Amino acid sequence: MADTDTASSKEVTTRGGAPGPLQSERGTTTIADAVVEKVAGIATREVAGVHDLGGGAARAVGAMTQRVGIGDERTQGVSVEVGEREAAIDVVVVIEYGESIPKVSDSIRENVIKRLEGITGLQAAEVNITVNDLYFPGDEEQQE
Amino acid sequence: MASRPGEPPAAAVPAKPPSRAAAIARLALDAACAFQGVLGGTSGRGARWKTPDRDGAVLGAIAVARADGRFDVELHLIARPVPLHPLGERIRDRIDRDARKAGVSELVGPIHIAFEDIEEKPRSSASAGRAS
Repeated sequence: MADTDTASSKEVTTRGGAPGPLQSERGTTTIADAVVEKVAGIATREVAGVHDLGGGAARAVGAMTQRVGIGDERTQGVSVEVGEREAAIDVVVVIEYGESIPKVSDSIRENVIKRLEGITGLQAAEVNITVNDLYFPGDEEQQE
Repeated sequence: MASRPGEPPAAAVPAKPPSRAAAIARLALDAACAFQGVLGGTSGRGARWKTPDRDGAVLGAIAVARADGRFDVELHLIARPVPLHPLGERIRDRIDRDARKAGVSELVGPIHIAFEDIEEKPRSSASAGRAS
């Protein structure tokens, strides 16, 4: 069950994994990819109707790595390409059953763009959202 | 070791001062860590971002001598989720101010700031201190 919703298809000037510099006369400021991933992950989780991030495998591995203290749920289900001035963000989400997927997707996109620009100063060239699953209340009890 | 009569006691022998690079790296890191938005410096994987010093390394800060006698300063920081570019500019201002106070402003060259991660609260790998 996957629905991909793409905001735009602008090209992002990538930098091959290295941080994108913001030049000033007194030096450069760079933002690592991990920062952008975390900001996007936190912003996505802030949206009402989002139950979790990541595909089934990512969530299972994430739960295990978090239990042993090496994982970070805030970057789970998020991948980014960061350029010098803009970033492209892909998020995989599980949405609560009964919520409107288009509305939740719009809210995710809006919040990610707002947080990304506010914290990192980067423009979001695109925010691609994949709805990987629906969460039904009571799912966890059945699994136990 | 006991000192002989006529010799100064061992404790009175002044310790060697830190290298100029380490002193500038320390000054820059301390200036950055004075901000609430900064949780500390990080030496990264393999502890590659550090300046060696006699008492241990300055983690998350690198000062490298340039041909013109100044030092390039590189800071690798873990910050709180706050606007990072304005924070970077304020850190540069503070380093300039502290360098002037310490009388080493002519030694400080460009200041490169890399925000490597963001956290809500300090974690063990973020450090404003020396390597243990």
